Amino acid sequence: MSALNSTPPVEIPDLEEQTMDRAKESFYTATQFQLMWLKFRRHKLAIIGMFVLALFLIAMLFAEFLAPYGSQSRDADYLFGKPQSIHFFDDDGNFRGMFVYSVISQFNIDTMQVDLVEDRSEIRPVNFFAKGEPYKMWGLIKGDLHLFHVEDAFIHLFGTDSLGRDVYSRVIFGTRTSLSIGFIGVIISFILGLAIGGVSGYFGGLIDDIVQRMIEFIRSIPTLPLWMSLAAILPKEWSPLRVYFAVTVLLGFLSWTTLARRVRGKLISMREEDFVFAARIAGSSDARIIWRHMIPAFLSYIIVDLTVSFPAMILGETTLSFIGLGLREPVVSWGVLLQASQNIKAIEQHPWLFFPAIFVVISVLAFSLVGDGMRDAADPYSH
Amino acid sequence: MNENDLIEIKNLRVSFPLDEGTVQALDGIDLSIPKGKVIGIVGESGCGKSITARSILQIIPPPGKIDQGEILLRTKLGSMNDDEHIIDLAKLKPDSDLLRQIRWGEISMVFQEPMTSFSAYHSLGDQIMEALLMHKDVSKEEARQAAIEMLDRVGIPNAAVRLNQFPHEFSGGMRQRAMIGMALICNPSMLIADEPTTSLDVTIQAQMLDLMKDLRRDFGSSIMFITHNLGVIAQIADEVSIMYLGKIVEQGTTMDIFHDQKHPYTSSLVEAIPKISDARKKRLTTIRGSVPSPFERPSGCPFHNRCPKMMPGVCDVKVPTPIDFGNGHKAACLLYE
Amino acid sequence: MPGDDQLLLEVKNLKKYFPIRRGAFGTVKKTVKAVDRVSFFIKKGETFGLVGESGSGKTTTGRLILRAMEPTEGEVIYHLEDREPFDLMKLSKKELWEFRRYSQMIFQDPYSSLNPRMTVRDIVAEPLIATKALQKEAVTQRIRETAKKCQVSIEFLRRYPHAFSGGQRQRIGIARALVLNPPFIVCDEPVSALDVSIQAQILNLLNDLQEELDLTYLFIAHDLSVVEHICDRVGVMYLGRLFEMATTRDLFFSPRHPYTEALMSAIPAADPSIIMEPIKLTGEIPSPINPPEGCSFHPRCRYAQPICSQSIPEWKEYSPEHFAACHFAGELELKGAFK
Ligand SMILES: Nc1ncnc2c1ncn2[C@@H]1O[C@H](COP(=O)(O)OP(=O)(O)O)[C@@H](O)[C@H]1O
Ligand SMILES: Nc1ncnc2c1ncn2[C@@H]1O[C@H](COP(=O)(O)OP(=O)(O)O)[C@@H](O)[C@H]1O
Ligand code: SF4
Ligand SMILES: [Mg+2]
Ligand SMILES: [Mg+2]
Repeated sequence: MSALNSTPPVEIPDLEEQTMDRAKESFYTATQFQLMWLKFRRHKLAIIGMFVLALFLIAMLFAEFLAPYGSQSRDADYLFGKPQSIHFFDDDGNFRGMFVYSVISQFNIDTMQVDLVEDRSEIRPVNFFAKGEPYKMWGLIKGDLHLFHVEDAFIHLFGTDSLGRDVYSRVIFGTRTSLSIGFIGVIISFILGLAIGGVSGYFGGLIDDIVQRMIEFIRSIPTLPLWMSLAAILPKEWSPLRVYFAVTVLLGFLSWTTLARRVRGKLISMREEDFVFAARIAGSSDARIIWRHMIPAFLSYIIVDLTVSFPAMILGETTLSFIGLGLREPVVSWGVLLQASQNIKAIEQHPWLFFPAIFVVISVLAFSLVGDGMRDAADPYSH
Repeated sequence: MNENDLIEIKNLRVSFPLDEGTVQALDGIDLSIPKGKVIGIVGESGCGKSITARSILQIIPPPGKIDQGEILLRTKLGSMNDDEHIIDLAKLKPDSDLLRQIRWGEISMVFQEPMTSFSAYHSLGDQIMEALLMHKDVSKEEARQAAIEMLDRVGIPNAAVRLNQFPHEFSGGMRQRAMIGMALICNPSMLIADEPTTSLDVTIQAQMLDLMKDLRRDFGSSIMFITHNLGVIAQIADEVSIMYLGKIVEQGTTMDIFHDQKHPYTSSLVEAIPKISDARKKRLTTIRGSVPSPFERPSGCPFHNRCPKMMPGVCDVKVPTPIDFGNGHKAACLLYE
Repeated sequence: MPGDDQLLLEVKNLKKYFPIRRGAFGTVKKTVKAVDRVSFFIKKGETFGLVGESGSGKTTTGRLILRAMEPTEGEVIYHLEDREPFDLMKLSKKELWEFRRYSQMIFQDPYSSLNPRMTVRDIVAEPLIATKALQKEAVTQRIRETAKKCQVSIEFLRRYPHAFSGGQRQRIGIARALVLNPPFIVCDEPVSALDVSIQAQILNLLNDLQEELDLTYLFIAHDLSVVEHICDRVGVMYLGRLFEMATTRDLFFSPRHPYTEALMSAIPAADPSIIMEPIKLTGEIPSPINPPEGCSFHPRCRYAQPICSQSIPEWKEYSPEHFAACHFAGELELKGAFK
C-alpha cells in the first residue's frame, strides 16, 4: 500500500568485509572486559600499580610464611635494634652466600650505654624455604615453613621495636590487617551503596528524596571528627578483635555514599537509555532488564569506585589507630605500628619504626594508579 | 593568489597520530575563498569539513597537526604600513599574537552547538562585549551599545534587556543568533559557520539562512558554510566543494554541483536525497557500503570501492587529480583523464 | 473516517502530562503537556508520518501508542487480525506482555539503541526470548532469516555493536524490531542520525520490508522531504497538539493549517533554481509548561484573529480524511510545498 512502487530487486549494500582478517574479527567479537583490558593495558603506571597490589595481596594471604617471626615474638637481646645488614662476603673477602652476623650487647664504658654490635666471629647463613618458628596459617593450618630463616640467631630486616619485636614481620602482619579492613569495608560499602542507591534510583519519588538528603547530610560532616566521635563510643573493654570488626564496619558505613550516588545516577540515566527502552518494548521483565542490561553496564564503574575508595579505607584505619581510637595491640595494623613513631624524637632515634608509613604510601599510590587506569578503561565504548 | 580571493588554501594536509594508527584527516586540500562569497563545504560526517575550518584558525584538536600546505590570508593585520599583505596562517604559531588578532578580528567562527561556545557563567552581553573590547579600541559603553545593536540586528527582540541574560535562558535558535552576532561584532572579513543549523528545526533554520544572507549583503563578509544538508547548501552557497575522505572531489558553482555533476560521488549524493515533487515516487539511489574507517583508506581513488562507475585496474590504482571543466568547475575523477 | 476493517489503530484524546518536580522534597507544581488531546488513526499497511519540531511530542506519542509509558488519559484502540478490537490502555500487565508481539520500535540513535555489551545475535534474539514466542531450537533459524531480510550478514551475528557503522547498526535495530514478525512498527526518526547515502539505504530497506511483510509504520521524522517520500498520510504536531492530518499529497499540496504552511515554506529545496520564500514566524516557540491560551500557535500566526487567543480550535474533518485544528481551516487559501 505504500506510495512507493519498487521493482528493482534488493541490492545488498555493504557486505564489504569479504576478506576478514583475524585480528580485526577478534576485536569485533571482544567482550566488555576484553576491551577494558585493551584500554587498561595502555596505562604503564596502572600496570605497575597492579603489580604492586599483587605483591600486597600475596603478603596478606601468606603473612605467616613471609614473616620469619610472629607479630608478638621477641628478641629480648635486641631492643630498638636497627635493621641488620645482609652480607655476602666474610671479612676475608670470601663469597659465603647470603648471611647475617648475630648481634650481641656490649657495655660501652665511654658512653655508659649498652651498644649492639655484630658478632663477626661466626656467620649465620640465611636459609630459604626453611623450617622456623611454628605458626597456624590464618589460625587454621599448622606449619613452620618460612620464606627465609636464620638458624640459632635472628634476622631483623627492618630492625626491632622497643620490645624487640621484628618490625619486618609486624609490617607483614599489619598488611594483612590493614588490607583486610579495606576489603571488608569496601564490601560493606558496596552492599550498602548498591542497595540504597539502587532503591533510591529505581523507585524514585519520596524514598529517593529522603535517601538523597541523608547522603547529603552524611557527606557534609567532616570525616575526622566524625570518626573520632564514633570510635570514642566503642567501649574500652571490648577485646581487640571486636574493636577490629567495629572499626571495619564503621569505615564501611561511612563510605557507601559515593557509591550509592553513582549507582543511583547510573540507574536513572540508564532507565532512559534507548536500549533499555527497547528491551522493555521487547517484553523483557524488570528482572531481566536489571540483570542483562543495567548491571553489566555499571559493573565496571562500580569496580572503579571501589578501587578508588580503598585508599580512603586504609587511611581511615591508619588514622584512627594512629590517634589511639582504632585498633590496639595485640592486633597489628599499619596504624598500630605507626603509633610507635608518634613523635619526632622517636623517628629521629629509631627511623626504622617509620617503615610501615612507607607501606601505607605505596599501597595508597598503587590503588590510585590502578584506579586511574580503570577509570579510563571503564567505558570502552566511548568515542 | 587571485586578486579577489580572501583566502587560498594550497595542498593542505592534516593528520592525527593516534595509538591505533595515523588518520589522514585532510589529504591535500586546495580551496580558495573569494571576497564576499558564500562557499559551501559538503560531505558526510568524518570527511574533514570541520578540520578544514579549524585548520584556518589553527584550532585543530590535539593530537592533530598540519603536516604540509599553505593557508594564505589577505589582511591588513600585522602589516607595517597598514596595507593589505598576504600571510601564511599555517606558518604562524597557534598561540601567536597575530593569530589571536586574526581569530575573531578577521575570521570568526560559529559552531553547531552554540552552548559549547558560550560560557555558562557570564551573561551573553558580557561575552559579546568582551570579544569587541579585546579586538577593537572602544570604551565599555561603546561596546555595550554595539552589542545591543548587533543583537537587534540578528533578530533578538528586546536586546537591551536580553543582553544581561545567561546563555541557558535563550532557546536554541536565539542562542545561535546570538552566536552569529558575537561572530560578527568585530566586523570580520570572513565567517566560518560549521553546521550552524544542524541542531535547529526547519522553521528556525530557514530564519537563520535568511539572516545569514542579509548579513552577507550588509557586511560583505565571506562565509564558509559547512553542512551535510544539501538542501541548505543549495539555498545559501554561491560555490560548493564536495569532500570525501579528506579530499575535495568536486568543486564548482552551486548550479554546477546540482545540475551538472561530474564526479560520481556528487551525483550519487544529489540523487540519494528525497526531493519533494509531485512526481511518482521512485526508489532512492543509494551509495553502496559506507564511508571506510579512517584507518583503512582505499588505494587509488578514495571513492573507488563505492563508486558505481569504478573502472577496475584503473580507479583502484591511480590517484585522480582535479580536472578543470572551465569556470572553476573541477572534479577529481579518472573517468575524465 | 475509514471503516473499522481498514484501521489498524485509533487514538482518541490521548494526553501525557509530565510533572515537573521542584523544591527539596519534589512538590509537584507544574506539568509539561507533552501530548495534549491527540486523536488520529492509522490504517493497515500504510506509513503514517508524524512531523513537528523537536519537543512537539512526537516521541512521546509514539511511546504512548505502544504503551511504553502510561498515558495521563486517552484510548488507543487496536484492530488486530485475529482479535476483537481492544483498548491498549486497559490491558493488564500480562495482556500487555502478550501484546508486545504485535508491535515493535526502531530508534533514532543507532548507538544508544543497541546494548554495547551484547552480541548482535543476543540483541536480535531478545524479543524472541523475552516474549517466549518461539521454541529454543527455532530461535536461531528465525534470527538468521530476519538478519538476511534486513541485510545483516550472518557472520556478523557473533560480533558486538562496536564493530559496526551507523547504517549497519540501524539495520541491526530493524532486525530486532522485525524478529517477532509484528504487523506494526513505530519508527522514531530512524534516519535522522544517518548520513545522506546511508539514509537512502535505510529508507529503501524499510520500504522493501513493508512490501514483503505487509507492515504498517508510524514514521516519526522532522525532515519533511523524507516524510513526503515515504509516508502515505501525515500528521503535524506542535507543542503537544496535533494541528493537521491528511494524505501526504493533500498536506503538501493544499495544507489547511497556517503552521503546516510555514513548515512547508521552510523546507530548503535541494535545487538552487528553486528560491525559498520562508514564512517568517514571529517570536520563539513557547514553553510547553505554559502554552498560550486558545490556539497555541496564535502568537506566531500571521492569520490570527481575536478568537484564536480565546478558544481552542476544534479538531475537524474538512474534506475526506483531511483534519485540522484551526478556526479558519475552512476558509484560508494556503500554499503547499508543490509549486
Ligand atoms: N579529536 C580528534 N581525534 C582524532 N581524530 C579526529 C579528531 N577530530 C577529527 N578527527 C579525524 O578527522 C577526520 C575528519 O573529521 P571532521 O573534520 O571533524 O569531519 P566532519 O566535520 O566532516 O564530520 C575524521 O575522520 C576523524 O577521524
Ligand atoms: N520523561 C520526561 N519527563 C519530563 N518531560 C518530558 C519527558 N519526555 C519528554 N518530555 C517533554 O515532553 C515534550 C515532548 O517531548 P518529545 O515527545 O520527546 O518530543 P519530540 O519527539 O517531538 O521531540 C518536551 O517538551 C519534552 O521536554
Ligand atoms: S487557529 Fe488561528 S492562530 Fe491558530 S493557526 Fe488557525 S489562524 Fe492561526
Ligand atoms: Mg564536523
Ligand atoms: Mg523525538
